[in-house]
Amino acid sequence: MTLAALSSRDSTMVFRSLLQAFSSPGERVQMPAHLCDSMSPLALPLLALVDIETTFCIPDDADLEAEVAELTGSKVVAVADANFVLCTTPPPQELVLHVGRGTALQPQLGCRLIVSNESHEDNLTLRLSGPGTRPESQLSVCAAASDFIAARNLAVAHPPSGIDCWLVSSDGVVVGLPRTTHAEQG
Amino acid sequence: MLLDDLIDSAQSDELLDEFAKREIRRAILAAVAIPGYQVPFGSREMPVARGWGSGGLQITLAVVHDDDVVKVIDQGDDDGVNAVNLRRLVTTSTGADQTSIAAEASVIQSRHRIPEDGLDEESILVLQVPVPEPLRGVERDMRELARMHAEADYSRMWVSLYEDKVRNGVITQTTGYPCLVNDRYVVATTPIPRWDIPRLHESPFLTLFGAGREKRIYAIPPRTKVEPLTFEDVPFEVEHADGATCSLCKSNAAFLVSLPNSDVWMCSDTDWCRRTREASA
Amino acid sequence: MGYVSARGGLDAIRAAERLVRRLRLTSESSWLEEDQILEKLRLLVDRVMGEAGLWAPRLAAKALRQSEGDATEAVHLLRAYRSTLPRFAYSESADADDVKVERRIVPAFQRVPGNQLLGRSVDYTARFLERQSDDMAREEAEKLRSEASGTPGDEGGEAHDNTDTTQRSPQRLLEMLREMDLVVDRRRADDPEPFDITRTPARPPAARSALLSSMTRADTGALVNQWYRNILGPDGYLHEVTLGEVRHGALDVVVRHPVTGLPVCVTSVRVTEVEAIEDLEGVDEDRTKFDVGYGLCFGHNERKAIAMANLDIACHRDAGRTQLEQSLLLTTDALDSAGFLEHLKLPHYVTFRSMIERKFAMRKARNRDAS
Repeated sequence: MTLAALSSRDSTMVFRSLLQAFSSPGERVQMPAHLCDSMSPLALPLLALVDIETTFCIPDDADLEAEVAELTGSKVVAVADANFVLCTTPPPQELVLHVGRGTALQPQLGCRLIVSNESHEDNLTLRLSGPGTRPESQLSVCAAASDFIAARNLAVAHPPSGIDCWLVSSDGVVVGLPRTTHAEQG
Repeated sequence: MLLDDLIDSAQSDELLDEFAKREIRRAILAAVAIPGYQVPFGSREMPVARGWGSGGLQITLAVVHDDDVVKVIDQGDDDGVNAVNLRRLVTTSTGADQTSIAAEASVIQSRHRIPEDGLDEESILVLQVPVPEPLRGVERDMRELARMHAEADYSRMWVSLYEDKVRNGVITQTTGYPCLVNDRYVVATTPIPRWDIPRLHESPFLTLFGAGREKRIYAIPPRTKVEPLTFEDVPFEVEHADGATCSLCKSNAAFLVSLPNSDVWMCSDTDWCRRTREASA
Repeated sequence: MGYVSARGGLDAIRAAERLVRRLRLTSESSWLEEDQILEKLRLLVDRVMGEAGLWAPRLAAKALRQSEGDATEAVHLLRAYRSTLPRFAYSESADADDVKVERRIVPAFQRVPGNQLLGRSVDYTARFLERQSDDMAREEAEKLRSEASGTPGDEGGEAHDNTDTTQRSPQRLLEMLREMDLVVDRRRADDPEPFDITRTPARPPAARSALLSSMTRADTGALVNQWYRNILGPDGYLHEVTLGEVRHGALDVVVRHPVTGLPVCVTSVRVTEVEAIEDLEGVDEDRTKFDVGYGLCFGHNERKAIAMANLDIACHRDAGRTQLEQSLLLTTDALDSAGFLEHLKLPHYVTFRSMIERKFAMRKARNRDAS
């Protein structure tokens, strides 16, 4: 599937999905269906948020990276320097520990990490707590992503710096995992 | 010629270009991810002056699409001149519908009030912020202010509240009461009255704060702990006047404002007052 | 009800808009042409473009006409318009040495390389209010026009005579001072991207480029005041400097062509540029040398550029000891200060009610303690 630049309205709709996902961590938020049908939902957050004033990288898919760069004008940089990082498969621990976390003075410089998350039968269920969560909030991740979650938990261990994640499935459901959310198995 | 073409093509109802909207959206997302932290953003000049809701307007324009229904109030009043003006700009440039009923609105932009009722999980409340820095009363140097927030060093704030209590018998902070969000950041609460403060705590709705002049956006996500700074033996007090009821709807369950030097009170939330009257009629 | 507040809704707003528009458009005098504003009020146009941070003479003229001469309002119109335009490209760095000067003075020396070029200036004109009748003024204009037709292309009159290319791009005094090893060398080897104050709010401690861009967009009056309160007011962070360079001239703006990638000159802007020489006398400074402050702004606005250069070096020497940097970064923008000041006209009855409530609460607590 090839990507296309988002219209102003579609951009707003995708942003609202992402905003809802961060406001309510663990909630399964459906991104606009007409977009998810025509292109990879994984790329939607980038298409809606990056431009010439941001940097990004897609370490495991050079073709997709080139396409996003072409469409948005956003600059491709190394993982550690990127404002946005997209991983089309659950990223290894080293990568997650390598992305920028910002500083106590500038925590907003922490990376937004977008990770593919497909549901499988062997899914792990994580209990979530923190701002925006509900008592029953949960996150279901594929077993392959358990390393990612462990690394993510390390990356957010020293607030206010940290990283903020969206987990996106191929049917266009996005789940937010901002840095203030505690995710533990149980 | 090329430049002239560009200028012509840009003549539209849009008040912000797409780059600006994306930048504001990125800042909003950071603000929600770090509750209470003041995210700097490249605040654009709007058709309204800075200090007149330009920060709230930028947030609203970045958030709203044509399926939204917006409510805009100034001091609780949908018909305040500035509220009317901002609502006109928002609806004409986004195509969103408008309402005065909070429960019907998906996005509510407000100067200094939270509507008395009707906000739920579907609502986004956008508050216009004149002064986003809660610590400015105790420290003027911005380098020091940044350090205090970074280290969550709010000791001087506590000392100042204590001195206030000792000197005046009560904590004299009026509106914009400082609150601790998610046990981490102290925020300025726009100035909404103290009446509205308890409703920020574990609220069902998302609150976005926009300070256009000072170029800051911050947020309180839904279901987030918000505690007014006070001492264990000094309970937080909301505004109260003995025996005051609204002269129009007879209610005492809303934030009331008075006529000068009189006992004539009225709800500051004019739409709530209207609906209360209609319900009892 | 006798309850009065700023209500009245859309009708009132529209009526106010109509009133302003009607009175502006239907006033008795003839239509004010853009060219008239550009030519006859050129310094006002320059000032507005500088404070807006937007080089667009015709738009600035339109804005001034719409704002009925209110410079801050015109700046607001331009900046709000700018907010609707996408940013397509970044210009290439411009070298200030490429400015083609129309005026250049060097107060520090009597004779300097490249000579002094007084140009169009009222500095030495006696400030007599010209009270001649319009007819007499028109007559004089005719006469001058016919005289000038004999010397085509020389719009500056006698002060411009004998200007050749080297005089249009004269060597800087600073270069000479460097050759004499009289200046602290603060040039840096790296070439960092300039801080973009329109995208990231500049807060102390800020890069020098952030300070300079803030001042170049600042309200002219605010900068002059910041300078003067340091001379005579309570702060006193700065000294009088010696001006090494005051220039006004044209500078090309170059962008890379999006397709060919080749540099293309897209416009020429006029700038005022100032270098201010500061005598170093601090205990931790090299007293055998001078240091230099820099000012540059759109258009012909010497007052602003001089204040800027002086404040630039003052801020460098202050090195964060006082809140001079914060004052410059945060309090000199025309729209920030004017907007916030005027917001006091908005209704404040919710906040004021809350204040009155605390007054009564304090009184009650006091009475309780007393009894």
